Amino acid sequence: MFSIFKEPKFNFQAIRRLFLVVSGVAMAAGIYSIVYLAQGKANLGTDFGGGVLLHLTSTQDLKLEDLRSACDRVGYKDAQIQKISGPGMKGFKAVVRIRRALDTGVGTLGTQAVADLQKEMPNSGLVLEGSEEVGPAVSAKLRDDAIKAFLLSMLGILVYIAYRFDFRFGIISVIATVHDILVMMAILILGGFEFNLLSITAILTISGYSLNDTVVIFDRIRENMKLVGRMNYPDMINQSLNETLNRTVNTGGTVLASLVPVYVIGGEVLHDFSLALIVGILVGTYSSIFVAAATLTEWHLAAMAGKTQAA
Amino acid sequence: MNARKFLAIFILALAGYCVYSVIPPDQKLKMGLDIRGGVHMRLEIDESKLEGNHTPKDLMDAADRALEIIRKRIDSLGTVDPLIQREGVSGIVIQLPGFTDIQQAQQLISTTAQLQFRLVSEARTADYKNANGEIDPKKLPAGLHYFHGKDPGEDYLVGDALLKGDALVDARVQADQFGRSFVSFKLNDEGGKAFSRLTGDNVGRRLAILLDDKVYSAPVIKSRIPGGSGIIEGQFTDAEAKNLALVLRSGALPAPLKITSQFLVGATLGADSVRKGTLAAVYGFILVLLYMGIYYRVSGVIADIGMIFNLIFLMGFMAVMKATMTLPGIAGIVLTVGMSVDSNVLIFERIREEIRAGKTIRSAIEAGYNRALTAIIDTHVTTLITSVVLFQFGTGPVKGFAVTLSVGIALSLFTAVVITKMIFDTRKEYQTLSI
Repeated sequence: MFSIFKEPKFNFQAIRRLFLVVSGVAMAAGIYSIVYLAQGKANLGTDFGGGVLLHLTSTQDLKLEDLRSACDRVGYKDAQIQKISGPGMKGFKAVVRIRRALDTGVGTLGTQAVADLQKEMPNSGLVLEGSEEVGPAVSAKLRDDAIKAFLLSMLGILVYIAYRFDFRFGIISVIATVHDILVMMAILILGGFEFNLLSITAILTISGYSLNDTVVIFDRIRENMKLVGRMNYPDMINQSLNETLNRTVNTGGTVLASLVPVYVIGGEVLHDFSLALIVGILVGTYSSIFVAAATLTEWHLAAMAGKTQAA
Repeated sequence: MNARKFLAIFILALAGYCVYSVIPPDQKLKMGLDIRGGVHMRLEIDESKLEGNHTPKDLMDAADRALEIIRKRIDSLGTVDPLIQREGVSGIVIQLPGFTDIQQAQQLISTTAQLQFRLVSEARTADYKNANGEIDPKKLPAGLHYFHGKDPGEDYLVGDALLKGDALVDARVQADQFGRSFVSFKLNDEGGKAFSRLTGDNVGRRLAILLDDKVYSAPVIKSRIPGGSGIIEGQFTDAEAKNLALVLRSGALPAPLKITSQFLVGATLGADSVRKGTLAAVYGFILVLLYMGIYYRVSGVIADIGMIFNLIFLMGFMAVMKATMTLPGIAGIVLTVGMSVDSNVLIFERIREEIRAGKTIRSAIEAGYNRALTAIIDTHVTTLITSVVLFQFGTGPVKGFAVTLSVGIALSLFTAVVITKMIFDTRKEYQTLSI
């Protein structure tokens, strides 16, 4: 039998407070990222933020700076330009974002911008390969829908946890799930990645999936509860974590194995999406080992201390 | 034949049917706009331009009528399976797969095609101008209206509308002797009589022909025009004239439509994305196959077989149910691949523990499957909750993701547990187990 960890005996509980502090800081960063998002400072995608996005290509090898200065000259100083490159790609490919509230109607700014750029760079061979234009009404609706979807799936997961677990395990599963969401948001938003519908999709998917490791570990802890007495509580938690360590690593590992190629060669659309999922899998695996179990230990010890005091 | 053999044959037959229904995938699978390329637009009735007082029901009726007219106009483009549907109170969503001329699509949609005939007034514009040299609508007496011409700089003072485009039955593009395009139209009997009376009574005056509140031409009436035919001139390009005739034929929209969002995916962009996504998915699939095979040896290969069945059933489902495949949908398949073997990881780790605890291999397998089941079901329920919500709220591409992920995860309950167990059960006694 091949195992990554042969009969592991890690003392996770010895260092639990360190990780609780780290996670606490990361969650605070997550809360800050929500404030940041609410203030409209985040790098919102066209779907949530509105505005115009143009995919421009050319068979010629254009320079990004030339496109940049052309944009400045024809009055799109606010444009954000990103060159797309990848292995084996020929010619030039760029994404131009113009963040403006399209109050006067969608469907004119993009066309105008392409025409202006083609006129300004007549020999560039620039072609419009794709575009997105979203007005304020639609982006507001998409934001609303995303928030509704978010709250509804959280409610669904909460109901399931309440049905599945007793009170203490339930509360801690919720804490672990909220932790995963906040840390993902902190990394995605404060890391400057574009925050769009697919980011929300990744966060929701992970919030459903990352619960699984926690469930597996809690099931084992429940089985091992009978050992308390022969060993102290933190040791029992350690044993449960060590017994389930290989499966915790492997369930995350197979998903990572499937996602990493998508991140590397999956193309622009799937690149950021798979990155968000990869970050989520890592955070979720970390949290079930270091956050959920450690919180359980702290809770137990606090409750015991309370009991001794009362007696 | 016992029940188990029957089930095995059924599974193989079903898999065979799935493979048959999905090959070749580029023809059998319904591809989303992000893969096929095309135009997606969301439109909204401009409520402020709707005539008179209107209730929310009037607004919905107007949007319903607008949808029918837009459908006629879109149909004339000849795109293959366009999607035109209502959304919300006054919204319309249009999807044109494979059609990438977004400007033509915009033109078809943005023309209200409200045709009006009004007599040009003899009043002088100067009498009604304010200090800025603009015409002040408040100064105009009843029965006198002010409109811009099609070309900038032209202004017209005209009377009430004497005839409207509802009476129009046909409109065609024609060319004059210089090759310039104009649009000829024909009115119905009633409209034709009214037109004949109108022209007969006003010989020598100018008749303004307005389309969408712009004066296109204002020719002098030389004589009574019987028969209800007329022409609209206005220095059109061929394409403009063609579109104009088309929108006139399809009828006027109850109110102008505003575009609230639009997406264009060029054919090469979509093809490029799907090529990269598919290649990445294949690599991810191979990595997971290797991961399981190397880690759990023969048992891992059994898990791999279960996972392959999962993929076959998933693709078969997509083809048979005509579910739309999108780029995020490909990511959903990739995630399904990685997540479906998770059940096997849980089962195999449990079997290993049972073997270490000294159980016989046969009973370790049984115990492994039985005791891992609750955790496996938990895995599936929580992931399904989120993907069902995503399906409910997501836009097209995200819906594609929710479909592949939720169907794949639901199927994996069967493929990763039942099918792999059947393979283990083909042998009654185990001396050793490669796990």
